[in-house]
Amino acid sequence: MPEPTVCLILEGSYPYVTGGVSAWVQELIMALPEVRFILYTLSPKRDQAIRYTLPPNVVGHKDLVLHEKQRSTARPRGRMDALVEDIRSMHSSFAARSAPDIEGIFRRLPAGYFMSSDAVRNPKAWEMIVEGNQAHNPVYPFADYFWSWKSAHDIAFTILGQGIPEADIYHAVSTGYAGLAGVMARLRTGKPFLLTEHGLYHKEREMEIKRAGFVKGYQRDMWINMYNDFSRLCYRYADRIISLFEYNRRRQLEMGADEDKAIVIPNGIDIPRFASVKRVKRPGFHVGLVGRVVPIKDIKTFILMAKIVADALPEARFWCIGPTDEDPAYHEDCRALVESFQIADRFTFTGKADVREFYGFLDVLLLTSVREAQPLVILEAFAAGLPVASTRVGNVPELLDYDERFLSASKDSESLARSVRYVHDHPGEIAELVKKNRETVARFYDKAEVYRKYLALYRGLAGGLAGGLAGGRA
Amino acid sequence: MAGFDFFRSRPAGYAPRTPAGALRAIGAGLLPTEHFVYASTSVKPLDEEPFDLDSIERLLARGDLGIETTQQLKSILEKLIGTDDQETALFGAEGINALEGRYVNRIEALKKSLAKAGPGTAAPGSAVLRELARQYFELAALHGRASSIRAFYLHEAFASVRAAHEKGRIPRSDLVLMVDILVALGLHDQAARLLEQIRAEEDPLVLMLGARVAFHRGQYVKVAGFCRKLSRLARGLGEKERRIVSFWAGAPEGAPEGEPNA
Repeated sequence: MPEPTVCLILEGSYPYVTGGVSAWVQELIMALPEVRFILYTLSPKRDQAIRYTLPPNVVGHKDLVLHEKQRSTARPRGRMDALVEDIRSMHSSFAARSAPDIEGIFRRLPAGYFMSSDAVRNPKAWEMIVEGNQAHNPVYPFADYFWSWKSAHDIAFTILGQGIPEADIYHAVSTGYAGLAGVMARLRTGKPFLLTEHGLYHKEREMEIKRAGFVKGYQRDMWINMYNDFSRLCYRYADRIISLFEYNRRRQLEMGADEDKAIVIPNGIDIPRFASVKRVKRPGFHVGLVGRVVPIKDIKTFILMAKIVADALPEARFWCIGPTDEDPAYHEDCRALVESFQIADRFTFTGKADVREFYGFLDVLLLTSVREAQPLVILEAFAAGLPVASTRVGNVPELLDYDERFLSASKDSESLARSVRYVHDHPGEIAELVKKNRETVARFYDKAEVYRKYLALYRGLAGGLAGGLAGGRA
Repeated sequence: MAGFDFFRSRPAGYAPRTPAGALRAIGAGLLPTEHFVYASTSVKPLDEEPFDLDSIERLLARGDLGIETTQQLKSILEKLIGTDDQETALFGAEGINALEGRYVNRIEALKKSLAKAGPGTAAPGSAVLRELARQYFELAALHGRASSIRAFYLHEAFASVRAAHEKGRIPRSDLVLMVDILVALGLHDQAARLLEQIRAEEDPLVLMLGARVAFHRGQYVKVAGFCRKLSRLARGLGEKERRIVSFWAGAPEGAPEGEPNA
């Protein structure tokens, strides 16, 4: 049987934007040269620069620009009023926080039919919009509601009206619009739909929307509900749902994912690459953080911790290892803070660097992030033989074996400093822990094993099997 | 009035979440008056546990918060960080980042506008420098618990306000900020010297600042002295100042009859 062709559905990431998810996609494609990949990318604008060298097994690429006006080349099947009734019933299910059966709707929606025009011209469809305004926004101008509704829905109409590249499997790397395209592919082609979630898209968008001062109350609810509804649809229609760790899998189950379909495949690392790092003790005590200098990594808390530790341990040195150009204002603020604490002679912002050089001599790695999913730097540090202390975010507690000596609440620089001091003061105990962590990483987080699992999934799904894996941890 | 049983029997539909929204809905004839009464009297204090995350989110989304509200909001968000629920803790941490980020962005914008103005201009951005000092001062206030970061931002604030008046006399409007910064830094003697230089014996603002600084230095006799002088300038005092003066030196001369004494 020939290897399957996989259509990767990507939104705001590979191959146009660099970052964790994009790097994961690139490595997945490169690790499975026997699989043919087609990219289906959802973009905010045309002709973006491609930031990665596409491997030879990428055999096709279709870019859908979400904000471009589309012209219908097909008509819905059956009566328009009946379609609108089905859509009304779908919205009632969404309002009750469940994922409706939308197969009937998709039977009526051929590729090439874009609903945006009929949605405002059909009297029954218009009635739905007006009723929505009455229910959610009756005291504010209708125009406000209408334009919010339109901007939220037009993107969905664009995706649903598009034809999707032909493939054996549709693999979306998030819910949201990419996930919606995956659902559409599943229902229109009958081919398997695989969903991998690195974080939880609807939760991340919700956080952004709630913090955005320019989004008004009812608009906020509309966007948040829409993203939640997309996730519910994905969880209902995906043949396999993959999360990186159990906490996120639980959240997927709460949103309606089937326990047997939801599995955990943690990210892995190139173990030999990091295990081969030669550890050489340098004079002093070296504390490092690997990450971009951006607010989400909370570098200021790292600096505060450095100040506390530096006061107690004169030999301590601090290394902030990662690019500084993403948020220059934040970097400048951090740099000024280091100077003001008079620790500039002991604190280094390295900029982008080969982390292995630093894993060779750091005595402890710190992670001060306020948000993480499954941070690979912890796995890298474990493989290289470094102890780690971190804030209690994402999958970190599980990675650190729920050891409270090395876990702190976000922004708690004093607790982080205590963890660093603990590592400094207990070398024998830490050596034992490092050994145990190395074994754990080798056993559960080997990248090669991750790719073997994905290949098995692809083959299983393409062969019409249940994916070859039971629910839970793969 | 329809009575409060309305809430038990009303059909599902528009339910405004804020008193302002309820008032508009009543004005538009969409809801009975009870809805506004309910919305405006059942408001739970923001810092009362269990926290009302919706209200906190609504407030956080506003970019025009004053420093007192921002400080209160930050203290609530700090409590959220300590909760067991990861999502709530994350919301707390990201909320604090958002509050601080607003200040950092404003400061960066002010610095850029200063750089644009350049040193050759007639008054090299003294208004911008004053605003920069204010932003730094508020950012320092936001770090009430982290004393080293707080001190860092206070020093930046002081440097900015000082730079604004390198050559000229400090205007009355900036005096409060400057003394506030010095007091916050614990530099009470320096604050006192600054006030002495000004020598505005009849200015209620300067006298009130003098009383504040003396209080921080533990010079209570001086505080009373400042307040006695202030009591003769009752007309120039606000309600809050009058209460302080009457506490230290009895009711100010010319205070309205029946005015409470404390």
